[in-house]
Amino acid sequence: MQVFKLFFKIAKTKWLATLVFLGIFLLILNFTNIGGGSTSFTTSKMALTVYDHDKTEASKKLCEYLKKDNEIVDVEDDKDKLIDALYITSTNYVITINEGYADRLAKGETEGLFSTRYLHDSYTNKLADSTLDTYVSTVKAYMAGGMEMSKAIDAAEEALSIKTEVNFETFSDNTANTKAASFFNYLPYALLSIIVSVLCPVIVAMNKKEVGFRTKCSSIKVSSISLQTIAASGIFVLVIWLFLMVIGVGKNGGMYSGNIWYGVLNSAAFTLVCVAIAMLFSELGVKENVLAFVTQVLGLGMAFLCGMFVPQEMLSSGVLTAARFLPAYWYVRANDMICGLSSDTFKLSTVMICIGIQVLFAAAIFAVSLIVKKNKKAL
Amino acid sequence: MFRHNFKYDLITTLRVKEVIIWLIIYPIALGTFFKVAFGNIYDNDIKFTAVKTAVVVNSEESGRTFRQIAENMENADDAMFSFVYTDKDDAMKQLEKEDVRGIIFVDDKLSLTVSSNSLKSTMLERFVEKYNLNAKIIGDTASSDPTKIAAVTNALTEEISSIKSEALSQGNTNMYDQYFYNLLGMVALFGTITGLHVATHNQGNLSSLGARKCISPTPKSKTILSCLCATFVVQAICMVISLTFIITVLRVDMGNRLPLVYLTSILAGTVGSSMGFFIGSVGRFGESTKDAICTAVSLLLCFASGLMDASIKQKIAESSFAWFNKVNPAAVICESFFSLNIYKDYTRYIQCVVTMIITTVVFVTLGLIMTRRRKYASL
Repeated sequence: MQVFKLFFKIAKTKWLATLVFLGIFLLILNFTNIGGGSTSFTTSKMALTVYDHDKTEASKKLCEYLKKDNEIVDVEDDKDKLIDALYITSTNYVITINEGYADRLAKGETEGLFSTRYLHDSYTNKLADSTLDTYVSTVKAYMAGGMEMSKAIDAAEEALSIKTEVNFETFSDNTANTKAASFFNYLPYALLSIIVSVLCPVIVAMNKKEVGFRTKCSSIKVSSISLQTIAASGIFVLVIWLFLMVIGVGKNGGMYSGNIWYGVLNSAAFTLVCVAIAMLFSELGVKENVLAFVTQVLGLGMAFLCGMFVPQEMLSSGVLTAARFLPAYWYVRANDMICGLSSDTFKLSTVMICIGIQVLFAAAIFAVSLIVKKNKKAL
Repeated sequence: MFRHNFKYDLITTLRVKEVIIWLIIYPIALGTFFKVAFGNIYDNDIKFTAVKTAVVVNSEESGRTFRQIAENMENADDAMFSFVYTDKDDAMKQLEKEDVRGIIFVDDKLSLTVSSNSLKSTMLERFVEKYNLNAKIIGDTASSDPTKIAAVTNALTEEISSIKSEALSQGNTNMYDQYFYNLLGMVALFGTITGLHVATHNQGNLSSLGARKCISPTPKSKTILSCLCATFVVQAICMVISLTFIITVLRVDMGNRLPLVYLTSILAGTVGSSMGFFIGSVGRFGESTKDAICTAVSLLLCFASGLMDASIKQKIAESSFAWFNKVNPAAVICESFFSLNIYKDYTRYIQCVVTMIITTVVFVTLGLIMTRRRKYASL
């Protein structure tokens, strides 16, 4: 069992890489939440920052009205701080109720009641503008009907509180499991990074010319060396995968159930792809000091192109067509269907096809690494 | 002596070819992936374009009124909606394919069907609400005081200009471009690996070159500073190539202060290399351990700065760890590119540059203190 032991002796020195990628994965899970598909309509809230420079009864009522359907975010009235808040979208729109708002409204004047500030010419701007305009024109209409301003404001608010019933068409019977979804969505990045950055340098170290020759001239059979290496790699990968699955149980808030088991199977298929990639890199002799670059290019590249960090729905059809040539695309597609994140209805056959394609990717990459190995031997 | 050392250190640094090549390939590959993935998201999902809506007219009389109002809205500058008149079946098909965002059914009242919860759906909800509300107010006035119908209708339909809007920045406000700032930050921080070589090439226990340098009569500070300068030059070249690719090939808008953008990227590279030199100087760990520490630290700092998910930066800013990104080199580098792009004045930019300079000086000074007068019992 010397080779088996040697594998874990070298693997032990790579604890830092495992810990870092595991840490990043846990932080991502902690900081992000994936919203699932809904089955009913809910009004989208805007994050608004409101400054009341008028400070009258009328302006206070407007602030209260805006608060009802939106989230009011307090930001200091400082240009730089506002730009920061708008850029990172902690607030979407800045509204200032100008001084003299109540007086002008009472006179029926509407010009320059509000000043607004923004960074992006976005949907929020239009929605907020139309909310303010509707409010003002409704108050004006009641005043034109003969009401005093304070009564007109109350009547307008009452009228504006009447909601229209919106029918929600789902086109699929998916129910989203958002807890498991965020775990399984980000899982490939962690799996790929951990497996490649640990497995690859260990196999490269074991395949080093001197170490290889020394092992081969020992009494251990070549087949036993291969078997022990495969067994050690398998156990290492299995432990990593099982550990991540246990984290998933924690994130899920209980044992997996129903369709989520297909998510577990899907992750197992992607683990095979990661192992195949690690084998290929080690056969190509990727040096340890460039492994971080390669892992990041591959991990982040697939994460952004295949729909892990950016939902597939947001990616253009051209990008998705190109992404089909990457295994992570099939993983994400199956996962979106399993966790109810896509508009596609869950179909077991489609999920199994996606899993099958990942297994084929793994087999193809394994085949390439065997060819590389054979060519190296021939040299 | 400094010039002589600098020349040979430059040659030595350039010999770590694979790292240099990857420092250039890394941003090119990931930058291309980012561009492909984020290319049109800002224009499609954030920037405002008229919300495409299907209209199914069930009542001819109400339909005529609706058409008139809709036509006025569509012809206005910056129209909020574009309407497509069709029958129910076709409208449902278009909604399923997401060709339209909602369906408005015109009867005595308007009703709405949507298939997703978004700001676009909420805009449609508000439009339908306003339409129905106006009809109700006019109807109520007609029954209570018909003489005021004209005044009320006028108040509800007249164009009002209650809002004065101001864009807070004329710069590039595309929030997806922060991924490119982060990418440059990561290239700079991966420069830790080149900086690490300065420490290892000057430590007798880590390399034979270090042992040779330890016994030479040249002052250690002179040897290290020349070596550091050579690393800064190589890192600067990598940064300039990466930035040029991002600007010219990927056509990412880095603002119109390009000389300062280039200067910032060179300074960012210096921060990365000096951080690597500092890490390399701490303790007596082997080169591979220090290499792993460099990668781990760079990755974690870039994660906090939003490389994997931009919202993480926002969440850190809102948490009690907001101070962290004020000193996090990756976040400071991103912030400096952001400041150049967004702000007209240089206050924020200068703060970032000063932070970067202080970070570099601190890392180099601490590194020099830790590497000087080191003695080895045996090598």
